[in-house]
Amino acid sequence: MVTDENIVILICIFFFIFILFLAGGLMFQYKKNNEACEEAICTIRTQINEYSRDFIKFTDFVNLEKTNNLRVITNNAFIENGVLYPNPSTENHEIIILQDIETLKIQLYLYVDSLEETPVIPYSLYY
Amino acid sequence: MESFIAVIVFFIISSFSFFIGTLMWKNRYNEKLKKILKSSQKELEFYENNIKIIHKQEKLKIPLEGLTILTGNAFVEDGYLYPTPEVAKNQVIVIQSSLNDEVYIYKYVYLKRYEQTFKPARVESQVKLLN
Repeated sequence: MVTDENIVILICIFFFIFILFLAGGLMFQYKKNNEACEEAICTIRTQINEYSRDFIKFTDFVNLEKTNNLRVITNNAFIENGVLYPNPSTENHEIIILQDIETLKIQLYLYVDSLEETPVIPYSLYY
Repeated sequence: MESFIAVIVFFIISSFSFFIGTLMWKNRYNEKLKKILKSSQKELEFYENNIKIIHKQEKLKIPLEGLTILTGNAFVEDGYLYPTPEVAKNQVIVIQSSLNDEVYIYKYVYLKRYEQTFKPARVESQVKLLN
């Protein structure tokens, strides 16, 4: 029997189903986007780790262990009393290369304004 | 009957609120990921511009004159750069130009996990850069 009350109930049920499908679709879309984003971040971070393992990041100065045979190749830093300082003109993200004259070994340093630039990766990306 | 309708309406509204809340949370997480992706891309771009990755199977053509291999772990033969047999895995090769004192950093990559993401096009662009 078609009554006003039954029509209201039917509208409510249809509305509820509509909202359910809408939210489900949007959730699926977000999930897909997030997964693509997480995958891209993982790939890029792997590449960055590959590069950055050779660099020692520093902001103000670095205490060097052995300075006798070390020379600065890049001319954007200087060594004073066993401490490596960047030149005043050295800009953010500038590479400083030191070389041991005897062994020819290279040390790569990266001068950065602040060390807080590394983004905080969500825990879910590690697993 | 009225109380039954009220229960249904309440159920619908609470479900709707729950879904909206979940969507907003997902959106926030998505924005966070996008931010991380952007900063990571910027960081990678910096490294790519400064360090030239060479796959072990790739041959890098470099000019014969005007370049000095500072690290001593590579040599030039017939215009191509080769790492010495003793070169350690992922060791950095530093070459300096005697013309403008510019320093080029190269790195031979052996790791398998990098091979999956390695793009040979990068080496081609490096060769163009040096030539």
